[in-house]
Amino acid sequence: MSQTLTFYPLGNAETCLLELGNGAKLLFDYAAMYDGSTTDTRYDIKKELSTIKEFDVVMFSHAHDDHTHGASEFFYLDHAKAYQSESRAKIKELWVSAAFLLDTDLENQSDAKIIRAEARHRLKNKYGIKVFAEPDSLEKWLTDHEIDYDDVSDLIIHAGQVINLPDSLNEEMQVFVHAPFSDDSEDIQDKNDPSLVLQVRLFNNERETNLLITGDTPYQVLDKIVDISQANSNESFLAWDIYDIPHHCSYTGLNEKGEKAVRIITPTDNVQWLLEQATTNAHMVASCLKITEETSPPHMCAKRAYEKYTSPDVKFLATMEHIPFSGGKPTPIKFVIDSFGVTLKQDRMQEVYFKKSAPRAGKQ
Amino acid sequence: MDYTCKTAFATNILKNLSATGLGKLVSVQDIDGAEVITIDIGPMEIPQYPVYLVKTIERVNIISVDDDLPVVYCRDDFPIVPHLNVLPDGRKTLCLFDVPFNDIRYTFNASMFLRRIVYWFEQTARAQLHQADQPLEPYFPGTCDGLILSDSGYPFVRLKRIKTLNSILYKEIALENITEGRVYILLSAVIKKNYTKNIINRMPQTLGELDDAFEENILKELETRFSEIWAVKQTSLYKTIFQEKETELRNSGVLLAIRIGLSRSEGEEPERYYIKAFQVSDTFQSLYQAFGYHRSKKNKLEKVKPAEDYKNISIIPFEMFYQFNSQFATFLNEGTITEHNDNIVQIGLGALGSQIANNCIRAGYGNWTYIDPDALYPHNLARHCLNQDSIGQNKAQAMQQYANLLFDGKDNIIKAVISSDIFSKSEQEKIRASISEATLVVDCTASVAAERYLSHELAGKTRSVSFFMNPTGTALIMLLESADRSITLDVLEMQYYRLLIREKKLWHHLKSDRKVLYSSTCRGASLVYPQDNASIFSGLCSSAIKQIFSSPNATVSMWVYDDLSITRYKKIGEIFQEINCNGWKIKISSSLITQMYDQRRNKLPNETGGVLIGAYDYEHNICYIVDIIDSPSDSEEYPNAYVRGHNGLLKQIERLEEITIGNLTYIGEWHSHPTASTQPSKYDLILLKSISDYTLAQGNPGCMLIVGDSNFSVYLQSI
Repeated sequence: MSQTLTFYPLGNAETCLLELGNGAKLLFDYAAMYDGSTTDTRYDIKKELSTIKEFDVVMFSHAHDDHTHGASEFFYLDHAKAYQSESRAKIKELWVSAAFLLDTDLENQSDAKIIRAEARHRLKNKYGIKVFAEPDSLEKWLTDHEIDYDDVSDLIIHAGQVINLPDSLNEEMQVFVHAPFSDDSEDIQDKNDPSLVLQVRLFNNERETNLLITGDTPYQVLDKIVDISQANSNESFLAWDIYDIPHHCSYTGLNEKGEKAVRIITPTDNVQWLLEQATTNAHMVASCLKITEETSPPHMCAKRAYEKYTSPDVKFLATMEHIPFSGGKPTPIKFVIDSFGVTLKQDRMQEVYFKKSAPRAGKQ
Repeated sequence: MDYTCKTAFATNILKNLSATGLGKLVSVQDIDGAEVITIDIGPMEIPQYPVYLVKTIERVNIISVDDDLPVVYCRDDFPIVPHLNVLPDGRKTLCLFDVPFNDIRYTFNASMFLRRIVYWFEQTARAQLHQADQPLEPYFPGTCDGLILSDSGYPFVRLKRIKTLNSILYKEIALENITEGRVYILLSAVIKKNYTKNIINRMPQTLGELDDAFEENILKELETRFSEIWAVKQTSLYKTIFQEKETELRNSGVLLAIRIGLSRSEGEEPERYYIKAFQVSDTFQSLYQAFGYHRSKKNKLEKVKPAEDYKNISIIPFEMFYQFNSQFATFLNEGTITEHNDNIVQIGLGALGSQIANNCIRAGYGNWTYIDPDALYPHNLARHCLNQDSIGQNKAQAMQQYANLLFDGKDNIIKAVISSDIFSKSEQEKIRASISEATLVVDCTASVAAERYLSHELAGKTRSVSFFMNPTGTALIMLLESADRSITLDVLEMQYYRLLIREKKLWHHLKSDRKVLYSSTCRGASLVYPQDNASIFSGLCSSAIKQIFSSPNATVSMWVYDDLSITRYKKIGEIFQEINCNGWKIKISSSLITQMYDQRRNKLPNETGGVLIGAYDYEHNICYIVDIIDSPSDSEEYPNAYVRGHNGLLKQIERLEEITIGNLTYIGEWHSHPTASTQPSKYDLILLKSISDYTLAQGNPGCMLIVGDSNFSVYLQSI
């Protein structure tokens, strides 16, 4: 048995695919950023994922465009005929935060708004959805739409618990919910704040491998997660073999930047503690651009901090920096997870070569 | 950085590195005339928790070697893992391929080589380089030189030196053979611990290092053997081997054979025993002296001082090979010890026979008595297993010598030879005795007479099998008796003919336009046909022989070789009922009787009948009733009369005679009685007379068979 976890190079945007040994597929965010031009080095995930007819789970960590872009063109959505052509990928279960579901500050026709409509449709019809956190406003929304709370209580997931997964997923994995918290899901200032934070645990014989999925969660929420996990002796749910670095390697995942430019940002004590939860030979992945002193995000001072505050055996990777051959385009960062733990797959020339067209030939 | 490489291979390695990204060049250096390419291989797919601590990037030194696989050295502190060679100086090289370089030469290039190195590291990290179906690694590295020993019990061996193209072999010869070779003292040590790590250990260079390679103290055991060796002086061997000269004893070489049990995993019984031999010392004297021994004035070997220098005695490794004997042959042929001891008589060692014999000898299969009166002639050599040296010799004797030469004269897989034909009166007793002691007789005489004589006169209780080829050499026939001999070769021969008539595809089986060199039978002997066929069929025969004991059934099998494929026809042998009549023994096919009963019943209340097909054996006075021709269409069938018609009859009879080249023919008539009585009516007696009038012209009796309600009767009218 083995699983694969793939982070796609999409610039400062995130999509991550988890494929289980039994063929089940879970997608964490969807951001099809490739603009179709030959100069765009971002990956064409719409094409790459087009062979998948159905996802067991599609999670949107939060309602920003860099985590939802193009979703309305890719997924088969039940709430409106316009999104139901044959070629679209179906979603067995949609995972969104309550804040996303209730968000009233979404642009018309934006992907986020269309996903919100799908989420609302599913919740109203009480199927195929998990809503994370339960702010008071959710109850109000349910009442307004004449939905009996008891009918949908199973679909509402609280932080600090292990999710009940269907059998097809349950044999190989477990998901612990760290965030969003219900009290952070009210009066949102920044859509990043109530991002979903999950620990995905994969089982291969005796070996357990933990992925920490963070969306664009800021350090304040991470601090809170650490406090609450420690208070409840849930530290083991913060262990990680692969850390999905929050917010495209922005300093916001570590601490305040302060007024003065620093070479290395000092993470908060709790974030430092969180980084220390890395296991041997663990990996950190930032879904972001090539990191320079000028990019913002990603911040070089943050990258340095990630490298400094983890032990030397822990490897830092950035999606747009993952270029196998000199001069080539970035390729997805692919991990195979099995009873030996995590293996970072190296691009073999043959695989790369046969996954692209040959250069144009001919007289003109 | 630009490097200029001396060899094309090195240049290609560098080109390939930048193209594939499989690693980064560190340097190219000229060290003592050799071009050393240093590369950081990787980044590789090394898991988070590797079984062996392989790094994501591993530094290697590659040294190309003229006309051989480049050597890949890994870092000195690389863990000891399977498929890693540890050189005497401690350096480590990767064992990249499990086949010789020449076998992969056509696929070998820089890219493949680099990918193989990556594969080696990545699989090693997961402890998956050694496949479950691969044999276990030897405990020590392989060596070119070898010892070929037989299984002699005593510690003295005489070894003859043989120089091969690139190694030295020492082959054991007879101890008494004082003019050749040299005497060695061969001591053995059995390591009690089983080793499961599946790694190749560093080859020990001295006695001390050899001792250190194991947890057990093997040198102590070595020392305890000195007095035992010295004690040879009190035995007759002292004269045989050393001509009672003590200097000869003291100057004997000393070899140590170490046996190590190798298991795949902890707690398992050893999967194999690995034996490595070492030449410990040039002379016995220098060895015992190093251990502090001294020859006393009383002619004894005594320890006079503590052992000192022995640890530094250098040793030379040898591979151990066992002399090829019949047990070893059995093992290498996946045979069993039981098969090895099967007692078998083979009659006939011609083309097919000698090749069957060769297959069985090389398989160490059976314990044989060969019977053949013939001498080997030049024309035999086209398909015979023997060679020019044996021309003029008796085939059976020559085959015995052939087997003895193969097994170095120590095995008697061919326990007896009778150089006469099976009809020989003078050898009759001997032949009968050997057959009665055997569990099987293999008849390869290609002679119907011999087969029948064997079946009727010689076999007794011993089961027999006949193998022969058709005249064109395109088909092999096996007639196998039932284990209880209720179905014998002669009736199987009849069923073989019947098979030919009944299978349209086999109608040409016995037809031959080829020139017959000697006499003519239905069996192919001394005819012109390819050795290919003899070889293909002899393999089927020896395979079939080995399977015979697994089933008691009688069978008639035929293998037809055509257009590079073989078709098999197989019939289970059937019992022939025996009836004595007028001094003749009538043998009639059981299935044929059933067939006649069925036809009678179908035609009730009328009578019916047809023609009997069979054969006569005048030597043994046997009438075989093998088949029938159904009632011709113009026959008249009444409740009290049957007139056999003749529509198409002649054509049918001519055809079956042609198909069986006269071995089956018309022998008489049969008809049914609607009642229980099978007594011949007056009309029946007239019929029998008319039958005999016809058959007498062929020299046969006339045969009439009457089928009643639940019984049948056969009437035979002789001259």
